[in-house]
Amino acid sequence: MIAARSLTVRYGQLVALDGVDLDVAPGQIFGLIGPNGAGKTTLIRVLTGLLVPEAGGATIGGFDVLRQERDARRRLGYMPDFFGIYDHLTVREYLQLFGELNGLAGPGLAGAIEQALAAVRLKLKKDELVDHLSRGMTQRLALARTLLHDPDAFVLDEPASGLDPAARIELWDILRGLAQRGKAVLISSHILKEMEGLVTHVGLLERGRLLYSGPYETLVKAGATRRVRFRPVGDVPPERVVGLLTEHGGRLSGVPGDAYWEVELADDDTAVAALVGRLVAAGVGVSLPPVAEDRLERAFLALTGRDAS
Amino acid sequence: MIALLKKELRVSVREKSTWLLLASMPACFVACGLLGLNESTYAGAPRLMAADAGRQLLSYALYTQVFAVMLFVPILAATNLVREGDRKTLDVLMTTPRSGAELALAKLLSPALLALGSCLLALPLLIALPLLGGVRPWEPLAGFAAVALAALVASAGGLAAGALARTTAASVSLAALAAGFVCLATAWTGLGPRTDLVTAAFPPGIVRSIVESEGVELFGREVPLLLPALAFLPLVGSCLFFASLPALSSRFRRQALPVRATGAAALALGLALIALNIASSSSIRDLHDCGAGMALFACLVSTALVLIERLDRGGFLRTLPGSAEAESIAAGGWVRRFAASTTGLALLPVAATLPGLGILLARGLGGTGTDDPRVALVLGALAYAVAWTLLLAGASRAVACRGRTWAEPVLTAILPGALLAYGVSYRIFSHANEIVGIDPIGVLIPFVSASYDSCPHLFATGVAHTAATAGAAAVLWIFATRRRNRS
Repeated sequence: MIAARSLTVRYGQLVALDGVDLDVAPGQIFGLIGPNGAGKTTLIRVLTGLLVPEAGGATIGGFDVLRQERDARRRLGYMPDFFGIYDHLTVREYLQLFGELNGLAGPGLAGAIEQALAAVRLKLKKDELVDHLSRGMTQRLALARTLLHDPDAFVLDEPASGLDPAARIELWDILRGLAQRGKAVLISSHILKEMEGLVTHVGLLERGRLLYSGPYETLVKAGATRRVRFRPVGDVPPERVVGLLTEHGGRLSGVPGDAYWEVELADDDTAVAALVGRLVAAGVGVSLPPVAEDRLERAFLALTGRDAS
Repeated sequence: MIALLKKELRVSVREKSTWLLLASMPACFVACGLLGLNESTYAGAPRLMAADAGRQLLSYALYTQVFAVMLFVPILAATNLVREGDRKTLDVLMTTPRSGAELALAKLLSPALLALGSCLLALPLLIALPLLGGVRPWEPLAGFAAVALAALVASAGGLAAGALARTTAASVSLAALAAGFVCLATAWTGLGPRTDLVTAAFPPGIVRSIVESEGVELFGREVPLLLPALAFLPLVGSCLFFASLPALSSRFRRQALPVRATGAAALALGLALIALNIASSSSIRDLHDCGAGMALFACLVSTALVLIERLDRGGFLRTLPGSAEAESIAAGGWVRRFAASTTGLALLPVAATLPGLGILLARGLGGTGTDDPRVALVLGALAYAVAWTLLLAGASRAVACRGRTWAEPVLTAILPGALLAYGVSYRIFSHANEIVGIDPIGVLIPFVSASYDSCPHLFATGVAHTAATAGAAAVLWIFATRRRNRS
């Protein structure tokens, strides 16, 4: 659905994209990840037809984004990192504008606006000026704009930046729903953690080169190790614990002390279970750390009465 | 395209200050013109001949409308495009199935339609003019068509300026430059009352005046005005360029090259015309007729602006909305905001005196007084370039104390400033005319010259313009302050 072949873009001496190949099939959520300056936005601008590459080409739904731009754009829903909104329009007028620009009219347009507003839960705000919306609502409005003409492919540049946890969870749900309906979704982020649990496929971009492009599971399993954090409890001397870890093939990556120890093992449930069993058998109590990143989010969801599911 | 146009108009109309000013200005101009025409305050000027009252009023009204259109429209068009880029909405628009040409057309038409809508307020008055005599019934409508044409050309120039600029201040400056070119072009096509204004202004009349007019003297030969009319080419080129907006949206240097080439071609053309005319003209009046003074002015201003933009690092032109200083000013009380705006405006009286100084300097350096008008022309135009550069820098500074919309400070600063300069400089020129014995206005400002020739009471109307504009600006300011307080 979204494809790129041998894309090359240079800004003077800087090679922003270096022969990038990419494929996002229907039903996939493709996470384009990489540090700031890796070339993610440049790649997205080429895919959306906003930037002409020096070499190579891109297609949306089989249509060349430059030579068959109208057909390609009809099949594309694009949300830039900035939302692209007009403060002086109401929510309804804003969606009406983009609906008309995408060829919708009359009852079809009205229906599409209602559906899009319902999908992003902005129905009650439809007569408000965009200027009066919060950041999260503005983001949802931008998403509604991309949903409006029911495109086959979605390209979203850093869509979760600045969103509160509940809004991000809502956004992820909407994206999963789109993928289930057979849409191709490409989403970029420089925060890898954001992508966990959402993407089905991943592209790793670094200095304009796509280091990996393929299924998420394949990437994380290939040669991957697992880091385990624990704190020994009991009277066993630390040297003895270190000895046990080494015997078990574990590599201590953190410095032993009051904090939790960090051990790198093969990414295998059996290896982890065996280590824990060995430690316990040797009289070392094992205390596991709490899941810090979830605690705050769960507390937030509990206090605000929202359902994380 | 209709959807885009609707959006453009809707967004613009909701910027109430823009609407207020656009709607009130032509009415003010026309009303003040009527007052000014009742009695001449210019020493020795003949009283208005009753038989010619309708024609003079029509000339005056159309002149002021074209003036207002050429002042507003390029700035509206340029800032409109730059803001689209700032909001990142241009990228979003460019990913819809609409073509770049459709987007460009909507951008081209919306400021022109807004200005024409405001000018329409004066149309009933114009239609009544035949009752005063000297005007044929169809002429006011034909004149209005000329205003529409001027609005479109001005909008194209503004769009080109907006495409070149990365910042609002730069876009305002470049738009003012584009307005200079439009002034030049309209002077060549006979929009001034020196020719039969209305007939020449009607589109077929423009073509006729270009091709068949008496022309100018070049190397001792009469040449039709076709050559100077080539100045329209850069504007046409700009319009064509806008048909390829996708390249524009990325804003990368490589892709900006066609725009720069267009600008460079325009400058080269202007300079070539100046060289030709200065070399061949036998009288200062010829120079005025072919608009060389205006072309020189435009070229010098553009050069100065480019230099300022290059050299200015964190100075005048960088005092932009969004900058720390601008935020600090915007967060301050109304006294601070007003003071920041007035800093820019305070430069204007100084700027207005510079042309007079230039003329005096020219007289001294030339050594032959009025015998060598070319020196006066060059130095006078130089002085005007400095004056206008200062004016634009002041306006850019005024941008810093913006309210909720960009248009407020820009219009607040530029319009009264320009008209103040206009009124004051006229006073200086009228003295210079008595002392030096040449007509510097005629050399340097085709508009003023055009009105000067047909309306000897110009000073009164100039003062009235200034007062009306200052009044409108005050209303705008109060409106903006109240709105800000409310929000």
